[in-house]
Amino acid sequence: MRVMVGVKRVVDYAVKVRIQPDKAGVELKNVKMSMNPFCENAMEEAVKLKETKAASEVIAVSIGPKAAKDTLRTALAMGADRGVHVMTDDAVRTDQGLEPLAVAGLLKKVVEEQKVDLVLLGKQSIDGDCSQTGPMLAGMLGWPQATFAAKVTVVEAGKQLEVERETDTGTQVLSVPLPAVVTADLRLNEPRYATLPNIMKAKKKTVDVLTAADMGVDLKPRTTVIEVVPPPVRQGGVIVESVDELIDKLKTEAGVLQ
Amino acid sequence: LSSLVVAEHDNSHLLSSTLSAVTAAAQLNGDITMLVLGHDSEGVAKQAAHVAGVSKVLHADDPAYGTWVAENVSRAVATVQANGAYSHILAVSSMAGKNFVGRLGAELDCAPVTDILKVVDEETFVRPMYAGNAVATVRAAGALKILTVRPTSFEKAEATGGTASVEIAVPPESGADAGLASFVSESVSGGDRPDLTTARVVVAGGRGLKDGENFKILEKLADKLGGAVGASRAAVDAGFVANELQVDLAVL
Repeated sequence: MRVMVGVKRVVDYAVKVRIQPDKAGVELKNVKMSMNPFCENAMEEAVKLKETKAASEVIAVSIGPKAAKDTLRTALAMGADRGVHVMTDDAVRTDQGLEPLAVAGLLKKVVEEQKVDLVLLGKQSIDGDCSQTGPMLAGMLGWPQATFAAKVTVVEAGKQLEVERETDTGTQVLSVPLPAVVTADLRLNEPRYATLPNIMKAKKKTVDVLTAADMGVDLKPRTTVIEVVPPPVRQGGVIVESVDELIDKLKTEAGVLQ
Repeated sequence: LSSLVVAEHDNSHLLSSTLSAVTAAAQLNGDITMLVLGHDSEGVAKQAAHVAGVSKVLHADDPAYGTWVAENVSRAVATVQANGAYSHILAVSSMAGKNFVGRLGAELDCAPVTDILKVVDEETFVRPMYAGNAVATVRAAGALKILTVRPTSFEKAEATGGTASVEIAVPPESGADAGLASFVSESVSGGDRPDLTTARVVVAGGRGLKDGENFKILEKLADKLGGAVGASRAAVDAGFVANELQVDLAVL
């Protein structure tokens, strides 16, 4: 079973983002970038499948500018066998200028090229927060999908999965024939850290570079970002002295108690 | 202009989040059709017909729709769209909505705008990025707009007062079941407490509660207030409570 994992380079989750003065977007210059946390979950799951021999090969794919190769190196150090870098123009912002429709279109090309049985992606990237790419890719391929996965069980390698997925009210179990697209939620696993020997080994693994513009996919955005602004400032909380004061505030200020 | 609102429900009740989606549709100033996909869901179709502002309800009842398997829902909506040529398709920005909207975008070759907080005009919408730390105003090109609506950002439409007709939705040519993923089982947590995405009161706790046991204190308070229990991402990551309780912007 050949597994492909999509890994996106995003602003590190611990960074407090700043908006550019011209309101064109979030400041990306001189900001720490890392692998999207949900992509780490997807990557971890793929490596686990390799360790249990359910997967024969794990391919990491990243779509982005030159610097996305750092994210691919992280994926290789986590245990991917090889990488594919779909290179985009450095001028294109991957958080808002490259839409899920374009990303899914490019991933579809790679899937077809590499003859993949299972695609693992994060449930969303923490920059655009669209949560669309996984279902979109599945739709484009006409494959089954299981989003927000909390547990993946291989029923028969290359043939059938059972996926427990998060819903609004709890969890749901789906029977998923392969090939399929699965998107990872946080609870799926605990991503490993890349060890130094593995980081060294990763340098020897191959990364194929493709040019996004040459892949026959429409990359032109369908939506235009008019402006990006900070959210309204939230008022700070207060510490109350007594239960009576809390109840009074809930009644008179919050209006949650009648 | 004409909007198709995909109703969210549990096969017996229309969820109040759907009423927020109707309000967003009403702000687009077009005719509003509600699509009810479910199983043994006649009651929901009736409730949908009473929602103020809805002029028509399309109902499709099939076991394939009862558990909201994305492949089946997405195909059904695409078929209805092919017959109705709506200018806007709206769904709730919930995990159920997010599960099928991306797929629908692929089927209809349309870039959805997800999690909208505000309708500026028929093609311009406000949505959060970076877990709510940036708020973007975006304009969508194309004749069709697919939107998911954050329920807490829109008032709920009146659940009564409407007199819409109920019609049977046009089924996909090859049947309701797409024959891809299939439902095995589900487990519902939270019991009788209101749904977190629509609750009037939310009692949320964070890492300061130290462990999952202490969330029981919040549950007691939530029940007294008729509210839902929520948790910060840190509390969820620490394993205190289940993922669906997270109230940080990233998952809403």
